Amino acid sequence: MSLSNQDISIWKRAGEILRFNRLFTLGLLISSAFLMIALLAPVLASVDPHEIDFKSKLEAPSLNHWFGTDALGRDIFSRVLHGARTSLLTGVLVVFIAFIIGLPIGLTAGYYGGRVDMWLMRIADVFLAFPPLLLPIAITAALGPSLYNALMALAVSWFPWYARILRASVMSVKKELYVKSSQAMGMHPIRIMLKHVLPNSTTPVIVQASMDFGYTILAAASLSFIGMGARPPTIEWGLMISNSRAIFLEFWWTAFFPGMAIFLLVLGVNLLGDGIRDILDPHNSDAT
Amino acid sequence: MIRTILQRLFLMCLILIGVMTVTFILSRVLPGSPVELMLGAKPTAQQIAEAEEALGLNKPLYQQYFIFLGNAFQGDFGTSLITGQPVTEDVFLRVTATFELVTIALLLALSAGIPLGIKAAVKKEQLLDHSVRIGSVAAVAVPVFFLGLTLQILFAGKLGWLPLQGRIDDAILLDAPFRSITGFYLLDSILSGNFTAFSSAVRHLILPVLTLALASMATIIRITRSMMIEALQQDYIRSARAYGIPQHNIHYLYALKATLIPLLTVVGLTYGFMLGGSIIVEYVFDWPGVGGYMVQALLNNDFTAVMGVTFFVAFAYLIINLIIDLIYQALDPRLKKS
Repeated sequence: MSLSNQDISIWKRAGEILRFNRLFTLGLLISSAFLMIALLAPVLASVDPHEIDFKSKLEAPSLNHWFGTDALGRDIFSRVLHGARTSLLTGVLVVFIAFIIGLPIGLTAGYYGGRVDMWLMRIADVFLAFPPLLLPIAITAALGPSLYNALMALAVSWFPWYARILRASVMSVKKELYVKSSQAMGMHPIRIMLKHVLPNSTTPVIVQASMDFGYTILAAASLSFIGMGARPPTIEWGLMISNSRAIFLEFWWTAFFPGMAIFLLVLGVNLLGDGIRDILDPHNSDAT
Repeated sequence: MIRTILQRLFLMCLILIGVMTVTFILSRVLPGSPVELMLGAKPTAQQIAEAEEALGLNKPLYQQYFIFLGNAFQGDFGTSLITGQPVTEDVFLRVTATFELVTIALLLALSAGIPLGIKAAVKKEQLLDHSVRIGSVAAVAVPVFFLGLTLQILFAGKLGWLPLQGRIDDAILLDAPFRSITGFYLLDSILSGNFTAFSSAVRHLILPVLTLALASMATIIRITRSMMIEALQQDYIRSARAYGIPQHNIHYLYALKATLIPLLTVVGLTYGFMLGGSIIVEYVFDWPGVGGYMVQALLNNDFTAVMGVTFFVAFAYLIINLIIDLIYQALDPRLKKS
């Protein structure tokens, strides 16, 4: 009963926020637009993004090629549309994998406390001791540059944040009466963790994850830009900009449109993330 | 106080060993052994054996690990395959360039971000507040490499106002060199009274600093704003208002003080964020620092150098966080008691 009440209030809050917070609505619109673009890229783009045509290379934006063509004569509009797939997928996968790695660690550390907690958190500290972007670059270099390895590297460097947040929230939930009574009844610790503790302590992590989504997209694009991420023929915005590095002073459109695509997508998901935080975690909102 | 410092140092050493361990593991799972990279295409079996012997790769892994740790504690991270110099020397040659870039970017982000955050909090829900907030949301979403390229197109390409890349005009280093005292071009050129060099260094700094600072500035604005809004609602601010203390003093002396401690935490995080970002920015602007060196090493498969840089940058970040922790302790009397 109490759960359904909470549900109603969350949906109600979401409705209110949608009505009053125009930035959240904007974020929702941009993000869903990019989702549609990613899903429908082959339909929306009339030209094959891989088709090389040296006769029409480096053409400025025109009615034929809305965003112009690149050094190999490929249609940039079509490539930008297809790039949405890569970036959205990267963002989702990185956050999801980091979440999956961080979850058991944070849960165990928070629930058992003591030594287990101490050691798990020190391990997490080691990962957090690297400035962001540095560790993913080093890991990708070690595994060999590819989009898949970049994804893994980003997730591995990102999980300690989720482990930490989940741990803090587990520590407060485990003091609740329903957890104490399950323990008194002799319920198996793993069952308590999964059934009672986890469902009641994930909100802060979900809030954080929704706010990190944009950052991971940026980080993945940065890795591709320095040659540590996606490789051809994968279509990736950071890689497109990297390829135009030598020529962009003259042919600005080769870098401008993929760059704007990253900017808009990240802006959209960041606004969306802020809105999700306002809905799920009203106390920490900075819209006060 | 001394006890806390010792505790922190001990904890830092533990984490440092962890960082070294991670670096070691990464350097041992590299694609293709370092021997292959060293010897080129088709080495004979004997050549391989000799090289492995020389690098200590034929020893058991745990022995390799302790040798690695021992060398690392002595600051020895091997020799770069590209420059042929010890990685440690390469890093020390370039570290001041990175430090100059990151520090000035941080100062800019703070000196512009804090006042803007205060203004936005004071004029809450007014035009200025809204534009600052929208601006900072947008600034966080710009990919740093794209921002760098755009600034290059605009200010170096189209307008021609600022240099495209580099740290100083090479001609100056040849015609009118200045003594290297601190390694910071801005300081060294002023100390030597070489104003042509100084202005060239400033002009070269503007674009990379802006690129690196923008996203952090936005974060600082955002945090200052929300901390200020909270502080301005406190009773002591209301009392100060009732006493008729000038608004300016209330905002910049009374309320700002309450935001400084959370801001200090942000400074630590921002420094790390900028160290990471400097890898990209230095690559875009061909800045002769540690980050640019790392990317060059990456592009040339020089893994010894990559792992060395990884360690040194993480080490610098640890030291910075230690210093911030200690300032934190000194500033917040509540922490002293416990």
